Amino acid sequence: MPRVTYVEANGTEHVVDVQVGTSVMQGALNNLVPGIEGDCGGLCACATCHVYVPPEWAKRCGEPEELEVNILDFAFDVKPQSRLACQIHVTPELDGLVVRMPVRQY
Amino acid sequence: MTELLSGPVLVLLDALPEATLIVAPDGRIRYLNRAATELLGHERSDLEGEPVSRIIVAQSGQRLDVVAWFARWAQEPHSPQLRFLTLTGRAHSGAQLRLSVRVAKLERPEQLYLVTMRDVTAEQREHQDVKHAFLVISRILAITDDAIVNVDKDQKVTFFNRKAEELFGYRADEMLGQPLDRLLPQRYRAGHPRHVESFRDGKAPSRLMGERGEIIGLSRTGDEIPLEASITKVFIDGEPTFSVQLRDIRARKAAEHARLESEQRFRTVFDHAMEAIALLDPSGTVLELNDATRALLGDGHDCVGRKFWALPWWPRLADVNEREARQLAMHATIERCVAGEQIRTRAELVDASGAAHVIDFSLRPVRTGNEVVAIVAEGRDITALVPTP
Repeated sequence: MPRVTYVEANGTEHVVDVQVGTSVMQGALNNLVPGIEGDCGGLCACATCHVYVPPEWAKRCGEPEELEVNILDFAFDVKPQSRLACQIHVTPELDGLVVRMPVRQY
Repeated sequence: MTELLSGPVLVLLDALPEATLIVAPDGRIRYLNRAATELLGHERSDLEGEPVSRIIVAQSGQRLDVVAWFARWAQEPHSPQLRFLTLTGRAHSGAQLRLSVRVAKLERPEQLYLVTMRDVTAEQREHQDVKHAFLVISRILAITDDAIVNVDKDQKVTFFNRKAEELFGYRADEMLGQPLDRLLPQRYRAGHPRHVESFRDGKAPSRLMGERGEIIGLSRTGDEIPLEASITKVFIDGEPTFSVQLRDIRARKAAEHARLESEQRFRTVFDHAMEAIALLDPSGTVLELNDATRALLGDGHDCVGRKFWALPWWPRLADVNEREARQLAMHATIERCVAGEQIRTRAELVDASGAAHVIDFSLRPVRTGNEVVAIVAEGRDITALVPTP
């Protein structure tokens, strides 16, 4: 399974194996990673699974769809590398992915 | 105030229990009802004609354009975003409020947004508190040294912690939704539901480790694992959930077996030694003695726990004063040993049958650091080696 590192805003790292076919958000929830809320359950409707994807991983994570870009309006501390983790689908190519969490999701 | 927002309409809007705003397409507030003034703590005159961004504010790093979202929501009144997105409001006092907002658009006689706002600050905080408590408890369960497996009323697995993964060799995602049977040896599967049902229907909310015997689990590789188990039940909406805490007792059993074996070997050597051996504490109390010592003292004496000098070493000695003198001498010798001296001497004993024995007797202090913590007393019967006078 691809290994994903979730870095909390305070620097705490959570290295977990995430099943292919699920999302980066689901991987966090399944592995009790703090800092990703996922209130809407992955519908791209709440902006509480906001993460920063390093530029070198951006392409492999796929382009965000318009809805995701719009919903990011509600996220806090949005940057060019902001994504919603529920919209990043885990593939074998994402083995080694590192995502960082913002200070707040609400 | 337009013609629309006058007369009976205003009376109705003002009487609505939900905080309501009427906003023009340019984002200026045209009207707010009494519930809205109460929610925000503003006078109506403070806000009418002001931009809506005075009360619905974008947060740090938020690129939210509220009026643009009003337009979007008004077009999609059933959009899921309306269910999950909340906006941040600012009351007159400066307090931040989390607001669940719904929007409708009026096209005629003029374009206006009808906005209702519900204060969900407390609800959201409570929800977050519950989530955080859940996260903390879940992380404790995840790292605990016992395997934890939850099953539902049909005995399908609903939780499988990290230790359970390690113990049984299955990943949690492989076990979730699977029957608990998979973790039991075939021979226990048929009878297991009966045990669970009896626990479900019984009065006890939990059964703890130690209250029941060992059980056997089955790993992915087919190994049978001796386990201790605690089980508890929680009824949610009338349906039971069972949580089982499992402890692998293989290491403990192996350690216990090794300890017993070692003890057995030690006893074999100790009790088959030719020499009489006794272990004393620093006060001279007998902690252990071997069969050779018992033979020397004659059968039937319970010597453990007594002072070494008070043992029946001189069964035929009738003179009480003489016996007391010998006991005092032996006591003094032991005290020298407690002070650190190693002692070796020759002693003569006459046993209960009248036979005389010459004993090569020694006392050796056992130290932990500088402290004498025990004394080993040894006596070898050398009668046969001593030339008869």
